[in-house]
Amino acid sequence: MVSFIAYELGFGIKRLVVVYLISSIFAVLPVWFFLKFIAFGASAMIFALFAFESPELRSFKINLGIVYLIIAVVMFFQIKEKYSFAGHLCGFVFGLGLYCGFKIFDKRKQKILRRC
Amino acid sequence: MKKVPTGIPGFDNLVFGGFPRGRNILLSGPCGSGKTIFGIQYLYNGVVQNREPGLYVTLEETKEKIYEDMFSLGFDLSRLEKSGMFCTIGGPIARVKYFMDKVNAGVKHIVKEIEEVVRKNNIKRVVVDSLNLLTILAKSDEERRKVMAMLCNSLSSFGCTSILISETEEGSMKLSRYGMEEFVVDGVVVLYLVRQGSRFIPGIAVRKMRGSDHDKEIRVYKIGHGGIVVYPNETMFGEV
Repeated sequence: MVSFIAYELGFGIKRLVVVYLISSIFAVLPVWFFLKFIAFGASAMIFALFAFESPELRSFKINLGIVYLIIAVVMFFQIKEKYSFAGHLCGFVFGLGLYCGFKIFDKRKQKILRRC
Repeated sequence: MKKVPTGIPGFDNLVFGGFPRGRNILLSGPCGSGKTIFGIQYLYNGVVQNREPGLYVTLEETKEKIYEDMFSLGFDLSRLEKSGMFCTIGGPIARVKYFMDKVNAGVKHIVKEIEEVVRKNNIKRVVVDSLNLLTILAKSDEERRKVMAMLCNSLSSFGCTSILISETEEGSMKLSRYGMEEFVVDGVVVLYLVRQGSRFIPGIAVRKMRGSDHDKEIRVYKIGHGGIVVYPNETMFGEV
């Protein structure tokens, strides 16, 4: 599903691989730091990718409130499994953070005509 | 349907009151036919007569050069810009390309930037000068089509009534450079320069206007101080 959304949004494979690899490292760091547990699960990275794509779902006229509510419900049911819950949450937050980072980077590209 | 008067003397008679609001109009013609003047006059009148903020996107000349040229025709664009109702973005295509390469940007970023300026300044009238140069920045025909559709959609979604300028080849009967622009837009206005002996007679015709009736003849126009004046009762050629 994540790949399908990425394809429809035209993100490009390079950007997705970058997000996947960076989040695979940085999303597990808080888990290790706070819970002293190291986990390398693909699911945290998938959460990161989904978080990275989610703000752009607005272009499909999808209500972001509903999207985040579904994710919150999914996470709520994982709350007992504290390591996977923490990993997924970190992945999701990190994905949103990366989205903001890329947005700031993209802003530079949208100031061409005004610089001329 | 609500109309947006261009304020160009005589032209609004050809489109029965003005362009349909929120639509994209292609303005094509050969070099020297007055496309830029038409575009600027449309924006200038929008601010002065209708209090509608305007945006001029240039990919041909520097802002200073355009302001200087238009000042000689009686359009004080600097004063208009200071009022906050008018802005110009862009510059010569080589400069635009230089900055694009510097930050590895694509033509879709240019469209996004136009969209951002429109949104921030609550722009209601836009002129893109020219569509040929904008689409030159695209790497393929597919991207060209996508960019045109993207530009038209986003301008319409903001409620802008826009003029997209396209330069046609001298003596050509084509309405646009690539032959696809006229299908993306809602209206087409063509400027002609017809050679008669040793001089060129300028003519203007409305070829297409979705959602509105329009004049079907080629009418004569003149360019002088104060810009373009269209003579809605004078046809270019008599009855055959």
